[in-house]
Amino acid sequence: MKLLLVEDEPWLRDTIRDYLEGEGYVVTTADSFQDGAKKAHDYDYDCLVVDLMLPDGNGLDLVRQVRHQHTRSTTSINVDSAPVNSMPGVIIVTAKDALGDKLAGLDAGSDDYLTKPFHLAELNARLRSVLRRRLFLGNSDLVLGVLRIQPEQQRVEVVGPGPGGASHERQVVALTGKEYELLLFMATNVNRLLSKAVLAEHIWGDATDMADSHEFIYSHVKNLRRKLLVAGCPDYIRTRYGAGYIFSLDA
Amino acid sequence: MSLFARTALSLIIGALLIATLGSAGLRYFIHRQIRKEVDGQLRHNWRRMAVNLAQRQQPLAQLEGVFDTWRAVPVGNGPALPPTYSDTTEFDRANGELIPVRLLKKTAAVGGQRYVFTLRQPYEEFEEIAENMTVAVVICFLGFVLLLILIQLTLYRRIWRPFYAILEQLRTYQLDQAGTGTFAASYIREFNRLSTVLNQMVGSSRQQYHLQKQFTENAAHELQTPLAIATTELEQLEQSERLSETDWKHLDRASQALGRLTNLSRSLLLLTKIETRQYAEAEPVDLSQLLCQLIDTYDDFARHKRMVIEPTISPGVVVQMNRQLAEVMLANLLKNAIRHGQADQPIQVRLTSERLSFVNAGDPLPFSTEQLFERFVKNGANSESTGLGLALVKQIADRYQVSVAYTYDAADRLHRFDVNVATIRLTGITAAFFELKQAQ
Repeated sequence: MKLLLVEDEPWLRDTIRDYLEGEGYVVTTADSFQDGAKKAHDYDYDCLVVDLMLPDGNGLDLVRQVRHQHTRSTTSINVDSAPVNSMPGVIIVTAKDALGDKLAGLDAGSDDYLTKPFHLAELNARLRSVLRRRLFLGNSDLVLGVLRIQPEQQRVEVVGPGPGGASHERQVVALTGKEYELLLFMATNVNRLLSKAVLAEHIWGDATDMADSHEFIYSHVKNLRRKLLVAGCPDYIRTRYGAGYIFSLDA
Repeated sequence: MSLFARTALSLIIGALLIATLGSAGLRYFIHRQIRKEVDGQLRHNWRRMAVNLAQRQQPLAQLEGVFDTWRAVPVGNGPALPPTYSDTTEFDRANGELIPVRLLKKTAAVGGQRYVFTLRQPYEEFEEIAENMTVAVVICFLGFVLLLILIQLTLYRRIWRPFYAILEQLRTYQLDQAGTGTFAASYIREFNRLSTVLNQMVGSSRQQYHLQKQFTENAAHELQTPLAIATTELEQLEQSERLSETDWKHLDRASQALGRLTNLSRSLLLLTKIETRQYAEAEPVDLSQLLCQLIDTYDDFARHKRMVIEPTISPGVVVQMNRQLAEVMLANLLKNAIRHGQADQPIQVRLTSERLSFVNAGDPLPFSTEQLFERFVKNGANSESTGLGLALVKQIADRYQVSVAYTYDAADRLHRFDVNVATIRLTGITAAFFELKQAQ
């Protein structure tokens, strides 16, 4: 997946780039509006991550330019592959968490909105979500070990020798809304240590300033693990340092 | 009272006064003139008589004139009485009515004998003339006054139009909308002055608003950038394989503190923006729907704390306010109830077309009620709370002039927050239309 990251703050830009590259993305960075606009114009990307507060312009204008660029060019749809010259996904990042900005962003053509400061794992989860939606790619199922997650239907199945004994049996795991969110989040951030704070922020966004939200996460993860185990899934979710969780396929 | 009503009232009262005094004055004046004419008539008659009498050598044979126009009474010699006019009323047998009569008494000598002559002049016809004239003149007078008033009131609108235009502009004035334009100049000096002053005021307040907006935007950016850097760096550091458990705990605590700082700065910025009248855009917001969504989001959490949210929500309560502020206000009230509620006790959330209330059980406040909505006032036991939640609620409520009342029932140990939404509620056609749009 090719990404363009437009962010003027150098440390932030470096760290985000390193992280995303670690997650398997191919990342190009731009440090200003001009730089970003040029690169967006010259090359194709699967997704853009644009900071709105750029020193030489508003990131929204960049998004609009990109959208304008891609609606003008003809979109020819090949049967076999994804449409050429299709509009990339866009995630806008801003420090101003105003609803006005959010709506303006959606109007301008962005797919999602993140407020600074955000956790890298959150950015990753949003990117995956946008890419899933944008580039259908046949089926967007997540297959991790014996787990099969279908984000379209919010459905989780455990594939494998089930309680009935037959192989390749599919056992649906009944999860609550929040349990599903947690699982999906962890599944898109595989092998990454996720603190309770990160998980809580994913579930509640701005509303995480509550006491006991960590305890809440703890009990929800506990239930999630139990349900998965009961459905025949190995314990992919592990606790580390007694305070963080890591989803890993290694036994 | 409107300006027009006041003007009209003053004109009418003045007119009534003038009409009354004028009519009375006219009537008096007309009658006085008629009276004078009657007296003049009497003098005229006397002079004619005097000419006739002067020619007589003998005293009078008859002491009465034809048709009782005069009478004479012989008197002795003595001081001559001055001519005296007087009024009397007599019954006119011929026409069967009382008639007013004017008398003139005069002393004169005829043929050596002195007499007191009394001349009679009935003047009922004169009276009638006087009355008719008075009525006609008074009617014309009143008509004239009325016409004057009507012209005044018709011209009123024309004259005051620039003023009403300015008022209308003021009414629809929005601080953050660049397009509300300037106040128009007028050829009437006073209105022109008003426009000029208003333009200056508007200009400076708009400038100030933009400066403040700029400030909060810059502050947001400057605050959040280092926070963002610290957050991501710590997050990466936490991934290191070379950390001991205590190392990780330190990092985790630092991260959490950073999270609190982030929330704090967000809340403070929000407060500042509300105070400086940003978030001006208002729209119809379905509170019922919003509240249901929020309860849905926090239901798990409440359940985890062994509290059950009991909602009683009337559907379709639509208010006119900024959507984001509505979310913040409702969310903070709900979070507050959950945070300070007691395990195994319900949290009641009620929404009617009049009121929004949140009730939770709990111990009495450790501080005074007046401080509840102030910033940074919080229950000491709760270190994660920013202490700004209720301050935000109050700020938002104040902005829309909506009342938020807190009461504590000591007997049942219940905290209660009531928000009066009736004042900003959309009713009638507007609300119905909005609901229709929502349903589509």
